[in-house]
Amino acid sequence: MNAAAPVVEVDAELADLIPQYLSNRWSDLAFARQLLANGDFHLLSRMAHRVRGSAASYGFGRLGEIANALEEAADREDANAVATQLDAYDAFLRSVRIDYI
Amino acid sequence: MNSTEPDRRTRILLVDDDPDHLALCTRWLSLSGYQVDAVDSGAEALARLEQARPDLVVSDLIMNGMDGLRLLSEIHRQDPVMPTMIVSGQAGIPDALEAAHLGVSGFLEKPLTREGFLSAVAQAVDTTAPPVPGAGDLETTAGRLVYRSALMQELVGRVHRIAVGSSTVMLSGETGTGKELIARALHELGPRRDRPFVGINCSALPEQLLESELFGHEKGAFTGATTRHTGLFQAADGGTLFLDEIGDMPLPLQAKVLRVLQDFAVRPVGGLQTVKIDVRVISATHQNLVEMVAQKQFRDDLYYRLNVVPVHVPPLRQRPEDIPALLEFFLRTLAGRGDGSVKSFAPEARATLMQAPFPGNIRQLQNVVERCVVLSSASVIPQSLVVEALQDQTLGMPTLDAAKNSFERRYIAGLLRATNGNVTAAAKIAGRNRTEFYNLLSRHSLRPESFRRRDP
Repeated sequence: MNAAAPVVEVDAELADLIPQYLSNRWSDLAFARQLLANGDFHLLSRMAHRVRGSAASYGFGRLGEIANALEEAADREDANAVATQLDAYDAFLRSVRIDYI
Repeated sequence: MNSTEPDRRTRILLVDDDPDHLALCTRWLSLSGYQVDAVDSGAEALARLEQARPDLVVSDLIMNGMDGLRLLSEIHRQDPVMPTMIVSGQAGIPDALEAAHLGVSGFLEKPLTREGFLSAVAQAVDTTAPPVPGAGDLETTAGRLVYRSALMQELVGRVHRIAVGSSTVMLSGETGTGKELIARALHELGPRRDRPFVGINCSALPEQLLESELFGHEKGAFTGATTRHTGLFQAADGGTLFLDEIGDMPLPLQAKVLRVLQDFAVRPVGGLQTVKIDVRVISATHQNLVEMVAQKQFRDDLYYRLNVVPVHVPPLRQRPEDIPALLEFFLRTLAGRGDGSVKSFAPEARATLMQAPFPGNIRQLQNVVERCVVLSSASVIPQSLVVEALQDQTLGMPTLDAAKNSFERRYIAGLLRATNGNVTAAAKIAGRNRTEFYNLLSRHSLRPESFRRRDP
């Protein structure tokens, strides 16, 4: 667990989209762990790339950073770095708190 | 144009195979009043395009199946002037270049911000969307007045208000700004729309001919006046008479026009009777009439009589935001006339056009577009061709069509002068039969009787 729970400010007009967005990220995480086990770095990179594109657009800047690091690790085929970033991804999803503004 | 307050009728086709991103962009656009059609593949996008034409297509670059560039290439093959925008998570320079070549209006990198995205969309649709709900281009029988600028919106609003009356209007503005279209609009939006609109260019005819054209003449009024000729003041009775280039009207004739405007009656040359007329007079000039009045080149009493309602048509350099819409309009018009397939301008070419000074205003812009369309072998007109066309325009070179047209008119007028308005003789010299020659006369609005002159 992270020491400080991340607080994300999200546009209130997007509030109803957020539960689906976060649910899709949990699905991504489960899939990513499988990809890592299979050594499919190519698909891992594609998945991380997609999250990087959407996360900050929704307001999840920190998640975008993690996805960026994950994409780079997958491109290097660095299994340890990928695992570290997936843990960070997991921790973020568990602890994130959303303020609708 | 306001970057975040779109016209509610503006339709956007969104293409992205990431459902989260698609949902987000759809929400942003909908909240801003756009009508959004969201699809998750290029194939689906092409299918939607067959059903309805959007005002803008926004596509993700990297997608499963057909990628964004292939999709936009396919769209532009069908509709070369469709505004398109690419959104990408990792655009390389080759992609950006290819997108530019495809005439893409915008290239945005993910992650997006709401403000940046909406601003880019507003900019991209600016070329096609009407300026405000209910205020589209001004259509006249002589052509369409295309505009998006606040300056022109204000002018068109004024035209609508003035049109309902019969007050005399003076249009001022540089050559090529669309004064004749405004004159047409004043006539066609007003209560006289079912009566004639008669126009004459006062700089095109010598004094005596202009007088005969305006006031008419009786049979036998002078040698060559073999028939009675109704003047334009009478021909426009109940309607509108448009006196273009009024500043070029010779002073003696100015006095006669003044009398008509004072009495609302004309007396044809050689006639004894005056004829009452009811004509709305709209005049236009590119010259500074106030200065001409001060220098006694234009009668002050006529000036005040004509300048009851002054309307100034602004030059293009004061309203560059009209240029994109004008470009689209001319590209489509040229394609419609069969002068080639529909083409589009590369983004850099468009930028060059936006910054060009255009001393000849819209007419010059039209000439530049026409020249680019004719000379470009590619469907996307490159910047180099625009630069070349602008340079040629600066040297005062007309397009070939304009040059041919101008020569033909001068040639036929010369023939008619030489033959004293004898159509059979003129046609024979030109090597055309009478029917063909009459067609030429009609095309150039030349009247043989105007060339039948008094013996010296």
